Amino acid sequence: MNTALTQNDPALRSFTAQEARQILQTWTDEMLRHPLVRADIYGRERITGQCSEFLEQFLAAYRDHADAAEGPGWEPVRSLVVELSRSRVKMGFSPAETALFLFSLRRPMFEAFRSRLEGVGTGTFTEISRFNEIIEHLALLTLESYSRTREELIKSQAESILELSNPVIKIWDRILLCVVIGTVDTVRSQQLLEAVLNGVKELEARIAILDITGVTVLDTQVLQHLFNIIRGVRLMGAEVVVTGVNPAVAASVAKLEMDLSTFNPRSTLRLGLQYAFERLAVRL
Amino acid sequence: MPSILPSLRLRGSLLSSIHRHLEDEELLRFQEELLEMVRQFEIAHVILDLSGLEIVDTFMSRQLALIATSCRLMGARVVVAGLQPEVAVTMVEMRHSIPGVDCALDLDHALSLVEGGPPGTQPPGTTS
Repeated sequence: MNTALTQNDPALRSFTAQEARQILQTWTDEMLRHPLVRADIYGRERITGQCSEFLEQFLAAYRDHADAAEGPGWEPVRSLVVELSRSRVKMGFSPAETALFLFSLRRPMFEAFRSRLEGVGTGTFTEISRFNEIIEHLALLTLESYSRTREELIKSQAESILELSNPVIKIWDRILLCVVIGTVDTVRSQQLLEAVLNGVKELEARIAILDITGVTVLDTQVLQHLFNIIRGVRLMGAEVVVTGVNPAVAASVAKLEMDLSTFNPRSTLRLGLQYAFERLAVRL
Repeated sequence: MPSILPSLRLRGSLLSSIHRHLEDEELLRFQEELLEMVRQFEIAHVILDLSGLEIVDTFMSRQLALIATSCRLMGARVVVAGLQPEVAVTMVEMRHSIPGVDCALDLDHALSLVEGGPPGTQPPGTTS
């Protein structure tokens, strides 16, 4: 069935339909048996379907493009790999589980090559195979470790940012300053609301300056969060001044056509502070 | 008949502390007593100290708004004082408000609002 080929024969790169089926069968069998592959979560049919689609692209590229995987001819395969990885990340697969999709293709491919090659003994094949498996295991290990470390780093940085960006400071008697930095999502806005209101009580503030210079996105939702803070502050007898509104923000907020009468904005913190001093008749 | 809640008269203002949850009928009777005192003593400001409250629910916030409106119709402004941070947080989240009242941090603040001193001279305006 398989004509014996020498190692330099270009036909080596080309597989018949039957060979392709065999490769696919071995590949999916191996993958579905592997403990790291979550066939239960992902679904056997889905995995098999993905393997089939990938193998078709892969074998075509392998046959038609002699260049390395970085070359232009491999673009469709690369895209597919990226897409497959993305979907696995979203489903909560670990890096090792994700990489396994490709790694487990190697044995079936080796088998396919070996059964066609003349002069390549079983011994050589076994050694190459063993070597590959060792490298594979170590590579997966570095991948896992790298990912985990990055995640830990990101998490601790996120916590630092959170701590840094919700400070409520007594900037003067009866004047509170809260500098808001970054994204204001639902969780953060809740924290902000509580922090500011507790601050009003503890500092006996009459004026709360909310500086939004560092707020990255100011859409309707964020504005609602800000308004909640304004409402809460007013319920406690204090007044809000929003500072740090830059031209771009002003233009986009204007388009939202919201009632901004309680916003009391100032473009800079200095102007906000000046307003607060005048309001409270502070003599310096 | 003993009054629902004790009220104090202080320099033309009426001061009352709602320190416990009031049932619906109690709130209505409280309003009656308040309005009667406003009339009898020509009260210009009613200060309601809410620092003892842990929750202000929908009914209460609506009722307080009604009390404020009725007092205003009788020539008295209402100042709500001492709302706790937790209560304010909940009110904001549940979109409860008390339109028609001024708010003060505490009684001290309320009195200075009423008497018009420098710290926060003009009341910040009605809540919305």
